[in-house]
Order: sequence, then C-alpha cells, then structure tokens
Amino acid sequence: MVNVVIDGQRLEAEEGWTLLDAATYYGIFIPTLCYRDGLSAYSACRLCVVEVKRGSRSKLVASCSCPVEEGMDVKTKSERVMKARRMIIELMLATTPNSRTLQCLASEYGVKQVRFASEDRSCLLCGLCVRMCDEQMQGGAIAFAKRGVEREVSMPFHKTPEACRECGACLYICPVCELPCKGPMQPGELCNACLDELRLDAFPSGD
Amino acid sequence: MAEVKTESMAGFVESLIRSHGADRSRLSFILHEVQKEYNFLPEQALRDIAELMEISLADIYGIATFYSSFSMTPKGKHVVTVCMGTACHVRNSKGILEEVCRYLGVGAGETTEDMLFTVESVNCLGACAMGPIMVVDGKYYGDMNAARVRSVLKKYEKAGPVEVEEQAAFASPAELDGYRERISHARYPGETSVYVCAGTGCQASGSMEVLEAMKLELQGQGLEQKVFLRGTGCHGFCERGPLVIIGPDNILYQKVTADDVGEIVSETVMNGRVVERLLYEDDEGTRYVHKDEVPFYAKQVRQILGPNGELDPFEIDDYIARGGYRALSKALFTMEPEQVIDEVESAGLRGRGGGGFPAADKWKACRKARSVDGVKYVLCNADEGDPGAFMDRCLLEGNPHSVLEGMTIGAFAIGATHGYIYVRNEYPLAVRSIERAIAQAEEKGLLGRDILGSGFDFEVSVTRGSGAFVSGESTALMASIEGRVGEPREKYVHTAVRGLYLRPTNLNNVETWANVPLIVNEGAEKYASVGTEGSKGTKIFSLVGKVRNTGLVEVPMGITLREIIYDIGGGVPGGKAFKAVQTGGPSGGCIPESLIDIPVDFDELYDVGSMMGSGGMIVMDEDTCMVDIARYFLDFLGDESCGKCTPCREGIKHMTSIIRDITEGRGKPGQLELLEELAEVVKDTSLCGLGQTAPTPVLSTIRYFAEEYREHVEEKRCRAGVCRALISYSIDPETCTGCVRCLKQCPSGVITGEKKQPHEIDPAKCDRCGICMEVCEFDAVIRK
Repeated sequence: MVNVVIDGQRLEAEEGWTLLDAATYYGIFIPTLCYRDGLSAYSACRLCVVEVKRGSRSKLVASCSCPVEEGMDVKTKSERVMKARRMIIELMLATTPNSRTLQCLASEYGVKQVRFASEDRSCLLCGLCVRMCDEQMQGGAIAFAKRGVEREVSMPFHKTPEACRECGACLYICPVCELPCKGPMQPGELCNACLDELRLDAFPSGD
Repeated sequence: MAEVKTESMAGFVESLIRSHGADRSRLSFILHEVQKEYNFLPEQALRDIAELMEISLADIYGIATFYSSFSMTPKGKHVVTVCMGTACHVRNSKGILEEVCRYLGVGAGETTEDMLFTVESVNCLGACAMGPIMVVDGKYYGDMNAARVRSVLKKYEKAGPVEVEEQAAFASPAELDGYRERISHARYPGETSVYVCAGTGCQASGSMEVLEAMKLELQGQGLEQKVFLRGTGCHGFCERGPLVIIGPDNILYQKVTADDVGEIVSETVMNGRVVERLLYEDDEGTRYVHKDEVPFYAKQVRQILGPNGELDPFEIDDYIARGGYRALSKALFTMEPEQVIDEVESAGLRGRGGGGFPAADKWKACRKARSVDGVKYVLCNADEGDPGAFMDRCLLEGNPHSVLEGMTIGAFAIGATHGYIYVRNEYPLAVRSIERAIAQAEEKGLLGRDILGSGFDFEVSVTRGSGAFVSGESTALMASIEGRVGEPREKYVHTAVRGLYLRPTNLNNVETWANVPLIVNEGAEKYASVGTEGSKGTKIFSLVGKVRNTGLVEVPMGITLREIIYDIGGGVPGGKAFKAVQTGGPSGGCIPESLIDIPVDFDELYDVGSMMGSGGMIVMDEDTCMVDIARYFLDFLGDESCGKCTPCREGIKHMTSIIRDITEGRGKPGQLELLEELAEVVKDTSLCGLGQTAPTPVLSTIRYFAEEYREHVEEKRCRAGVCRALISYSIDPETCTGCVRCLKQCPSGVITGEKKQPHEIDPAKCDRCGICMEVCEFDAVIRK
C-alpha cells in the first residue's frame, strides 16, 4: 500500500493506482473530460490537474495518469488548481459552446465569460471517440489527423472505412453531442443556468 | 532470388513475428527485417503482417510509405550509387557511371536481371574531397577511376555476404593502439597541413572549389604526398568563410577563393611566408596571423568543436590518429560500468539539449531499471529543431565518431545493447556522415559484436525525423522511432524506466554524447576544472543575429554574455545599440542589456527567465521590436504544437491572437493582464516541454520590456519601427531634394511630387514597407 495525503486526509492507495483512482475510491471528486473508465488515459484535456507538493515545490499533474507515490501531498481544489481549470474550461468553450458537459462545468466553476476570440469547431479533441472505437469496439476506423490548431478527428481520407461498423459508440461517448440545457449557444455565449446552485468554489477548499 | 517465393515469405514473416512478438511496438523492427531480407517491402508481406499482428493494413501501408528507409519496389541485392556532384563531375564521374552500366549491362536506375545489382546516380553525396565517389551498399570508394570499377564490383558478385576487408576488425585494445601508431606516422608525413573548411556554411560560400583547387595545385607542385590536405567539418567562423588553415602554425586565411590557392601554396605552403591580404583584419586595421590570436577564437575553448577543423569526417582513420576510440578502449578494459557513471557524475556533465539535467543521474536510473528481456536503449537526440541553432548538425557532420564513441561508452555504462540516433530529415549530410561512421566503426570492430574483443555488444541505427519540432521531445521522439505519430505522452514514469518499446531508455543529445569521450580520456577532475560551480565544461552556441562575427562558438561555462557578444562576436554592427539577446530557442527568453554581465550557465540563465536551450544565441539591437519577437516565437510554436493538449493548442492560439492585436494597433487595456494570466496556465498545465515553455518568450519580454508593450497598447507606438500598423512615414520637405528616387521605388505608388520639389507620402494609402527610407540618400524620410 502507498500512503498519500489528499486534501488533508491521510489515505492508503494501492500500488499502481493513479491519483484519480485514489481520489475516486475515497469519494473525492475530480472533474475529467478526456478520461473515462474502461479507456486508456490520454492526459490531453488537462481538466483533471491537481497540485502535488514535493518538498518545498509543488506542481500541477494530470491525475488521470499520474501514479500514486509514497508520501505524496495532493490538493485537488487549491486556488492554483481552480484557476487552471477555469482557464481550461474557458479555452474549450471558445471553440465548443454547444457541449452540455462543458457548459455545466462552466457553471460549476463559475466561468462567467469567454474572453477569447471564439469560433464553433464543435469538437473538444478529447479523443474519447478515437479510443472508444479502437479500444472497446476494436474498430480502429477513426483517428486524429493533422497537428496543432488544425488537428481533427477524422476517418482516413474523410471516407467511411470498411472497419467502421456504424455502431454509434463514438456518438454515445462524445461530450459534445448533447446540447446545453438552454438550447444552442453562439460561440462565446454561456449557459450559466445553474451558476448559483453549483458553484464549487463555495465548497471548503483543500488549502 | 529472382522472384520472391510467397510460401517462404509467409514463413519468414510468421517466424519473425513469432520470435519478436506481435506487439505493435515491434512493427517498425519487423518492417526493417522484411526490408533487409527482400530489399523491399512486398505487398503480400504487408498483408501477412497486418493479419498476424492485427493492425489495419492502411496503418501499415501508411508507415511503410512514410519512411524513406522502406522501399515498395524490388531492388538488387547490392545498390551501386555513383555521385554526380560538381567535384565528382570535374573528375569524370560520368565515365565511372558509364563503366558501371556497361559492366552490369543496365542503365542508371535499373536493376540487373539476376537481381544482384541496382545502379543509381545521386546529385551529391557531400564527400566531394574524395571524388569521384562510388558507393556500394553504403561502402564508399573514393578517388575512383573507370579501371577500378570492374575489380570493385567483382567482389560483390560472389554469393553470400561480401567481406570487403581492408583492415580486419580490431580484436583487442593493443591492436587498436598499434594501428593508431602506424597510421599516425603514415598520415602526417610532412610538417605542413592544409585544412579547408567544408562545413555547410563555408560550402555555401564556395569552399569546395577552394578545396578542389588546392588539391590540383598541390598535385601540380608535386606536393600531394608531402602536404596533408583535408576538407574538414565546420570551423565555426562562418561569417568569414571559406576558411583555410595552414598547419602546423595554424595560419588562418579567410574569405579565400579558388583564385587565391596558387598564392597560398607558393607563398605559405612552400616558403612559409604569410599572405597578408587573406588575414583577418579587425575594425582598427589590426591583422591577425594565427587562428588562436583572432579575437573570434581567442576567448573560446574549443575542446569539443576543435577537432572538427582537423579531420575528414568521412575518414575514421583521421579520428583514430587523433586519439579517437582511446576513451572507449579505456572504459571497456580498465573501468567498471559504475566507474564510468561515477566519472561522468564527478565531471558534472549536464544535458546539452536544453534542460541541463545531470547526465549521470539519468544513466544511473537507466542502469538500475529492470528490463523484461534485458534490452535497454541509448538514444541520441539529433532532432535539432530550434531556429538559429546548428551546433548538433556541425558535430554530426564534422566529427561523427566522437558522438558514436560517447554513445558506445554510455551504452557500456548503462548496460544497453541497442542505440538509435534520431536525426532530422533536413540534415542529409549529417545522416550520411553518421551512417558512414557507423559502417566504418563496425568494420573496424569498434561497434557491433564483441567490441575490441571485450565481449561487449552494441549496435546503432539511424532514424530520420520527418519534420516535426515536437518530435525532439523525448517521448515523442521515442514514439516516432517506434513508427508512430511523433506526439508526446505523460512521463510520470520516467523514460529511464519505461521508454522506447517500453524498455529502459536513456536519451542524450549530440553535444552531450560528444563530451563523454573527453571526460573518460581526461578524467573528471580535469574536465570539471572548466566551468562554474553548477555547470561544468564548455557549451557550443550559434551566435547569430545583429552581431558582427556570426558563427559557432564554444565557450567555457561561466563566461559572460558580454564577452561572447562583444569580444568574440565583435558587438553590434552599424553603430546600433544593443537591446537584448535571446537564448534557448522558442522555449527561451530575451535577456536585456542590464543583465549581459551575468555568467552563462544553466542556472543563471534560468534565474533571469531564459534558459540554455540547445545553444541558439540571437543578438538583437534597437531595430528589433520585442513584442514582435514574442509574436514570432508564438507563430513558430503554433505551427509546431502537436495539438494534443488543450492549454498548448488553444492557449498558444489565443496568446498569438492577443499579441497580434497589440502589434496591429488593436491593443486594449487589460489585454496584457489576460495574456499573463493565460501564459501562466499554459506553463502550468501543458503536457510536455513544448507547451510548458511556450509562454517563456512572452513572459520574459513582458518582464524586461514592459514599457515597449505599454507603448504599443496605450500610445499605439512601436519604437523599433517594426510593427507596421503603428508607424507612419513622412518626408521632411526641408531635406528632400526632389530626386524622385523614392517616388519611383514606392511599390504602392503613394509618393507624389515634382522633380526638384519636396515629395509627399499619402499616409492613408501608404503600405509602410519602408523602401522609401532605404533608398533615400538624404535622410529625408522620417519614420514615426
């Protein structure tokens, strides 16, 4: 067993667990977007970052892939973590306003405006569909193409390959396929319907 | 083997996969084996692999056609390449090609019916000094003549692997030492040596013509046996190339042309007289005779780069004669692996690729790590992508054996048996140089099985990059070697424990490896006597930008930036004021004038908000706009980000858009704060080093040049006159003579006026290109 401290609580974690595994086991909630049980960790959305203290220095790590280590002192809701998550949500909203998941996260984290130039690309590039197709459906029909801001999820040559069985698993897992509760949003627009009920930063912080 | 037997091929592929595993990580290896066996990748083999390894055929076909080392059409057992470069051409390479074709009965680009030979011609192999060149299966035959073609090719006609042994592999350190002794005498017959720089910079300014002329001139004078002539790797002083150095006194001639060669030979080589007009002359008119007195070289300590100027990179004997592979022999026969690591640790060697991580710590971790099948890897990162840095290319091109020797010693210390050198595809000469070096070292028993009879095995392969800056990141580099997309992953489990093919892997860059033989040879104590408390040895920088003497410089750690820029670099040209120096490439920062007396080492540069990086050092003067510099690096990083993680992909995009607003006059109060807030999160949360350091150029320029940012935002003013939207041109009617020069040159046609009457610029239509200002001889054009 590995001894870790998460948000001030001394906890025992099993060797090989990630920080997210440990937190989840003890009912400590960490938001995730590109991570889903049953799929490999991809560490791309960075929403699940937590602050890990080592000696006098601390840094943010992706809890979905960072393994527990003896003596780790972890804060899942420190100001640094919250600031980072709010910024990441804001960045993602700038390209994906019509994701219910994301709009709800914005409300929970008190993101009330998008300060960046916005355009609707309708994809978070979380890669859940790619891994779902490959790892759960053994399809391998879709993959990432191109790089940087051009990056996209794509079928080879934009044509449906033989490997696609049209099973719909990619749609099922996509966090952008469900509209926000107030209906379609314009780029930069925020739902914030339940802003006041859900503010997470009203909760006691781990600091 | 005129045809490939489908049945036996299926068997071959199956047994290959059975013995090496069907894991995807073995794909690239298996493709290489199939290529080796059949000399190309037969379609049926790919289908078999897809089925047996359960990978989609499209994926495999993509990889197979992506990498140049794989061929989709059959080639002969032996590939004969004839170089048609300029130097070879003047020495009748056409005649050689004709003779090859005649002898084999095929045309260029064709394969003989018995599938034994494929004939190819190539535009330049970069081994011009040895021309004309013919290469068979990677073995170089220099100074070829048509008569020799037949005798060389006959050796390859025999069945089975061809042993073209001119020198048997060394079976012991004593044999290596004896050989060194013999060739040292044979190689330096006279007292005079002539080194012509054949680095890429000097080549571009015509050094190959100088070398060719020198060769002919020495022959003409009957001196070819008495004078040791070499076309060498980069000497560093690229600004003044082509460079020629005459030993033993190291007289330096600069900007030499082929026409100067006759005089150099008759005066200096034959009579020991100096040709004054070819010497380096400084601004005060002082001329310097010897290389070491020239200010550019005087403050340098060229312990890594030095040998570049004295050896032919294509000749292993040059390296051996200078004491090469002595360190390897010492490590293998007189040291334990742990001792080697201890030595590197006390030498204080830190990674030269940028991060400055202690090399010995990585080596130790990798040695300690357990591998499921005992396989460990050592890698050499030669994916030098930083714009403005070219030291790794020069080392690989100019002294490849020093890198190989360092890697082999490292492999011995770590317990690795396989190595990869990952070279960017844009460096074809470096690829050739290192591949040639590997072949030569294997031939001489200095690489491969049972090195020098020690029982230690180490094999090295070269992998070419495919044009992605991010692939220089360690995990991305490993993914790329494995035949995947060069995209980084989290490394909470260090690559020393789980790296390439999930085996313990140690990665160091070119310059780091080149330091290793020096440490083993000289001992840690002597090595560590150069440098500062935390950074030992030397560092190579490419000194470029607004500085007089551009080139490659190697300086002891701890030298000040001022010494590098002013004493070695000769300061800023054109009477302009120095503004900043950028170090560390796109991950580094800009250091202002107030800090140029800091000593250069890993920690000091980090403390002032920049970093050592791989060694780019770009000098900037008053005409450089610091906001524009931040924009330049962000543009670069935006192009090069892989796009995997949100903060890097989206963050860089929005940082660029904010900076662009500022440089284009749309800056608003509060944007700088947003920029800084965003920059902090990108730095804090990005997945890999590219994203984590992407904000550095922004943060460091805001830190030191906040006033310039404020001027851009609040006053809509760019003091350097770079940001076009913020400047305007006008003509001073008092000084304007009405010469119509600007009027004629203006590409937008917005300047009006009569001859001999003051001209005027229409500010509304002006494109602000500044051509009017450049062409005005009376300083009448004013930029505000």
